[in-house]
Amino acid sequence: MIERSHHDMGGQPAGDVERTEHDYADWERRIDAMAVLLWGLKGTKKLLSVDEHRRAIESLPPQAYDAMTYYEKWIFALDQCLIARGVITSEELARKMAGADGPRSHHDMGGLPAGEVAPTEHDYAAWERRIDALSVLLGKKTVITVDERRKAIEALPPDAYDRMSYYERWTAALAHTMLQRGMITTEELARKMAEVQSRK
Amino acid sequence: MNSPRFKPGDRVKVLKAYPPGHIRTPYYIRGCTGEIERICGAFPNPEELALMRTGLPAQPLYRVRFFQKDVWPDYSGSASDLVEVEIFQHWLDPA
Repeated sequence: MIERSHHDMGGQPAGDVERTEHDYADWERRIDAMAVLLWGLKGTKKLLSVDEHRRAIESLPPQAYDAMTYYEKWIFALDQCLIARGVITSEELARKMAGADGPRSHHDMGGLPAGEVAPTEHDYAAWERRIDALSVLLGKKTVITVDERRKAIEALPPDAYDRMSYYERWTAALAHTMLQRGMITTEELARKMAEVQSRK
Repeated sequence: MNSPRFKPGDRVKVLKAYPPGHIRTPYYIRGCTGEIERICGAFPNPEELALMRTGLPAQPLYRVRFFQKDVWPDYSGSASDLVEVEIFQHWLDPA
């Protein structure tokens, strides 16, 4: 499962580089100033880290990432960070934004054309039964809740979401949630995955 | 902070791994071998900062120098062309 994050574009063919500069609009200067103050650089009051903000920017779905301008991404990421920190809730933001059009999450496919449904059943592989049992037990013991798992599944980039089988998504979600909860670190996972990859 | 394991001139190999998360090591440089150009200081681990944790102890950050021809399989420029990338210590192993 080798995955390049959408924002990690170094070395990818990208055509000509646009070299023209444009002047910033007032709202762009404003959001830049506000975000930098919230990061707490230079001893100012700190609400979130630069890395939380960047992570939220880089977690935008590829389509949104490409469609938005630079500072639009900053704003969308900022509200995700404020929700993660518990400063505001999803519900509060949803109520304030009610009536406005917004993007559809990739997993939220109800009503979209999808071709024929193939109603065949398949037997589950042993690892699929195991990951199901494990995930459900972790949920019961509130080590990793059902909603954390679902949130992680639904946050997968669209191409990964489509490529993975049902229980592959569950497995990926377990890894994400363990990182989020601090049960394991990114470094530990990177080192273990490199070791497993190098086994013959 | 974690003490620096490398000094300028040391040969290092970038960890070839693709974990999910807030990774600051560019995709294209993972698995490549280069040389420490300088120590840039030590900073809280961004992978942890992104998850609202402290990122401490600070991780040494290095500027690592690679030959372009070692990075891109079809590189057609000069054999002495370089690319320099700043990489945290935990993504580097001795080469």
